Amino acid sequence: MRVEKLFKQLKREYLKVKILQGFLDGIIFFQLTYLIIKLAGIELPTSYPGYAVLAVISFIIFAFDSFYRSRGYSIEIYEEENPELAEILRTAHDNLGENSVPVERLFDEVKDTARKISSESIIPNQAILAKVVAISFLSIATVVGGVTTIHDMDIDNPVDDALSENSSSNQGTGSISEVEFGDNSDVLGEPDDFDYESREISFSYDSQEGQGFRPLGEQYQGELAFRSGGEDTINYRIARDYSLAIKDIEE
Amino acid sequence: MKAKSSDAEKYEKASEKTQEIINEIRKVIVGQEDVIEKVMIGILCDGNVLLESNPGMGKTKMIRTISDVMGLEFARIQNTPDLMPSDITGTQIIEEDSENTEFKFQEGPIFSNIVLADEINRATPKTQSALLEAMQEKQVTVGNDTYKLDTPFFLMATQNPLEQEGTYPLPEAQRDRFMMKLSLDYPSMDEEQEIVDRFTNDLDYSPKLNTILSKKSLRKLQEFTIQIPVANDIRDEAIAIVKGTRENDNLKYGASPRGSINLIIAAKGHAVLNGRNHVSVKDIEEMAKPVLRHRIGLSFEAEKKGMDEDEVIQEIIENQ
Repeated sequence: MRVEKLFKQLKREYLKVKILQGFLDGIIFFQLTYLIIKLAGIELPTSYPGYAVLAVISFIIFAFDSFYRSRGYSIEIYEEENPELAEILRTAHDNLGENSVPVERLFDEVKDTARKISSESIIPNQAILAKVVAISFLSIATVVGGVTTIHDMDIDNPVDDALSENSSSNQGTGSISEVEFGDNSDVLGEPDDFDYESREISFSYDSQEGQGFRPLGEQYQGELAFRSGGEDTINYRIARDYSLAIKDIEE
Repeated sequence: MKAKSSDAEKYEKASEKTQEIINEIRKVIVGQEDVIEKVMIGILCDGNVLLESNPGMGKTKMIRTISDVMGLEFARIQNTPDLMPSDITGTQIIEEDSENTEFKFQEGPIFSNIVLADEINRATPKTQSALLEAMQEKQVTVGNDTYKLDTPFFLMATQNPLEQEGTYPLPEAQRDRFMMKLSLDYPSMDEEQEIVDRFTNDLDYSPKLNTILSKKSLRKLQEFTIQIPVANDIRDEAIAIVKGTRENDNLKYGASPRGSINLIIAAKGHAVLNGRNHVSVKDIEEMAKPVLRHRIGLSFEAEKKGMDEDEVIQEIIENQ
């Protein structure tokens, strides 16, 4: 291997390390910002999805960070970390164009010594480890934050509220074991403003006589799932009114 | 290709050879390791050396021993106030035979490889300046003719301290042509005991010395020395030290750019002697004093403070 190749390789190794650091910084920024936005419920003023905007910003940060870190490259960085290369590396670098016996011998010496070193010497292991730990922590925090958000949605659920109201009105009767819904469209007409496509409301009651209704939020937390878009409140109110009206007719 | 690999082999042995030379010199000379090393550097760098010490310190013996070990022709010039330039360079003499009469140039003692100009500051300025051309141009001019000196050529001049009577200080221009100025210190008690033992038990103490190098090998070694690579920042540090001598308040005048050139070359010699393939900052710092001390002039204030040249150079090095 010629000594020029060695210098190119050393520079490549250096750039790799800096790009790795820039990449980790980009990920940390993405995760941290995403978490803050989610927890604080901040709406980004853009028509694009939030994660896409964050991904673009993170990429820009990665690019700038990598560029900034790579700027100060000099061969002395390797010398500082590897005392056995002190002075000889930069002397060889400064005399690349020379062709004499002592210079050739110096190149051989540099190559021999450089074999014993690797880019590991310039890797800031602690900094990278800290960043990896930060990324892991942020990943966990993002997952936990997501679960917390779902729980928050359950508490404010309007259907839950409606059912709670319903259960309190029936409490003590102990007579309702099953609610049957028939086709009563002839009474109230079709609820054509209720877009049921792509919405799923699934719930089941398992109530025994005398116990009455209990709020779903307490009893069936795990079984209740909603997939819904906007206008949820209005639609659920319509559904509730609709159900109550059917019940009144049946009675 | 073959020549190149042969050169590489010679270069590999360079450091070994210089060490062998030093060992041979030690068979005769006791102590003075630093001076021997610096004289060797002067020879490797093809530079002239000024030795300063009191009489009886073994300067002549040392130079003669070095020339024997290196297989070089040796000549000695004892400088006196009545010494004429032609006594050094040589002169035209009339050669007569039966048919014609012609002038013939008879070479002086300067036509050798190592010339020891003993007590150079006892010679008059006119005679001292006769050495200038020889030192710098490696040639002498007599009348209208110029004669090339043999290669390698070194002038080792010894000088008694200037305070002694009957001495003529060397002109600045001539001092600048010496690559280094070395000072010999008195030997330690142990060293002096050994010197006394060596030279009082034999009528003529002259151990058998091996010739380690030929003239050709020495030229090759000099080529290698000058080719030793130096990093740009280390070169710049040497220049900054020399430049520092021009801006120091303790100095009346500083070293010339020739000082920078000689400092770098001397550092290369020091690197070769220490078996390195490159010039280190240590080489520069080690050689700064011998290379610069005779190129600078102390200011009145510095002299009043009792400083010497070495202290000022050390201060400049530390401030870099």
